[in-house]
Amino acid sequence: MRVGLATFHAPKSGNAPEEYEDASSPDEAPAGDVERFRAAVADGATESMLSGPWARELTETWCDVGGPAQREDAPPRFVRLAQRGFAGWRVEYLEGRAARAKPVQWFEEPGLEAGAFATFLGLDLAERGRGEGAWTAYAIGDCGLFHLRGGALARAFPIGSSAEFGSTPDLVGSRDDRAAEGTARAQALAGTFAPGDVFALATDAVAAWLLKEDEEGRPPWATLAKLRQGDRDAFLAEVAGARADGRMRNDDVTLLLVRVEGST
Amino acid sequence: MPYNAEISRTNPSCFLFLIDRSGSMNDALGGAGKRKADALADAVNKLLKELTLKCAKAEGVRDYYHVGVIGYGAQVGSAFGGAIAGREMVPISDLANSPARIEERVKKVDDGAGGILEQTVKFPVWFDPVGDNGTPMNGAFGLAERLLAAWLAEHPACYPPIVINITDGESTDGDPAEAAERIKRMASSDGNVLLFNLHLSAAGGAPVEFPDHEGALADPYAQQLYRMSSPLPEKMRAVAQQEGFRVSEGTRGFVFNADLVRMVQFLDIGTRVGNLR
Repeated sequence: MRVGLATFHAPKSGNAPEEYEDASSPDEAPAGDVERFRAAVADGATESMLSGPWARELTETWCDVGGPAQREDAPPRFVRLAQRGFAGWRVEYLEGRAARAKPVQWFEEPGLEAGAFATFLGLDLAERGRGEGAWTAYAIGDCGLFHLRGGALARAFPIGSSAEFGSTPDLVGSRDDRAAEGTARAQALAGTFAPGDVFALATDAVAAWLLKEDEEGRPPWATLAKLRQGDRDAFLAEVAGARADGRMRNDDVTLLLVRVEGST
Repeated sequence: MPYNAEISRTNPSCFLFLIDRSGSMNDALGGAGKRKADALADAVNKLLKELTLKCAKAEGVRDYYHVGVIGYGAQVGSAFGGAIAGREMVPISDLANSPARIEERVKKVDDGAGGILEQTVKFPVWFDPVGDNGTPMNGAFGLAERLLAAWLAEHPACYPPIVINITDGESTDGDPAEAAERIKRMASSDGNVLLFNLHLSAAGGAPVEFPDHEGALADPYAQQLYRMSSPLPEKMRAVAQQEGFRVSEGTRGFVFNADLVRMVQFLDIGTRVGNLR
């Protein structure tokens, strides 16, 4: 199958670009035909330290190794690997701080000690032939997956209504002993896909907004399915308008669109 | 809906603590044990630490809040020591960078295997216990009014300022009731200033926590402090309820005859404000 990819990011209004704490992977569509494709988004918790890099570690590791097809009791392998990768990054980060003569301050210690936290959503597409195949998704917390077919919403996962979004989603932590808490309540789903299908992965502010628009009689799915990378400015203008109206919560925005384009 | 403003670096909120530093604060809390002044200093320093940590990100503290600690006893003025001594209201990043000192205290924690571990915990100290002279509460409220007026002029859309007055006895410079009413009438576009009162136990006895009617209080002084206290906003009521307190729409931010545990709980509830973005 050929896969098209479009990604859109914006930091919370009022924040600097480097304060953006979501992540999405991959950054580019694969060249040519592939039989397997993975994508993920993650939302680093505002209250935790270094959550952006942790979110990134999670999405990149998912794309590398994938994850379980159903919820498991133990934290999945990709989480364990991400924790190890992040631990290594953290050592380099702290060494970098020392080298820059910016030592860790007393008020950073508890946060660094507790580790980073994030919500997570991963998608895995396995082609069976001619652009058709099976997909699985794995979610911790309140990122949203929207499976679109023919410009309509086929499935929303794991959250189906805007009212369900709260301010205390499940989170997966970067420390060994903190992973199980979030993954214990992870959700998994499977389905099938066909050429022309679009999967949208979004962090919570966008996910809640999309569902709310639908609930209020302005279904966004047809427009969403047609979004291309070149529509970035228009999309960000839409976000700004929705934030101004109070239709979208002011938060980091991340949207990743995967288009299954059949085979060449 | 009031008390709903987003708290951000461009629209920060503020906390103002008014701390009784009269001579009677040297007495023991509840008639035995720790001195009231020590218990109070520990509780408020701990709260300032928690507020700072909430705003902490890698390499800096975000100024979601400004904080003032005003002592009233021999004088009325800033209780801060160290590099921020004399400053009445500071952004929380200044607080973070300028504790008067950082103590190391030993905390006993459950080791998860039936035993106790001793952990060393950093305890920043911004102000020290003092107990001297009378109780110029009116003077403190007057200073609070001036600081609030200046704050509201600069931040007209803020989440309303929260004033927490902690005292163990009656005012010695006049009835503070009118000043309290004036403070409660001040407002941002998001709602009126909140004034909470915490009375420290002089001689033990049953505390009265978060009452919702004056009749719940036997003591006329308690009744006065109750009248001076604002009702809890809805979200704060929910927090109080989660903490096990019985609340109603009329529940006010007031505790009479508080002990140390209640003091810490009250301060936590009173400053649990919104989701920081």
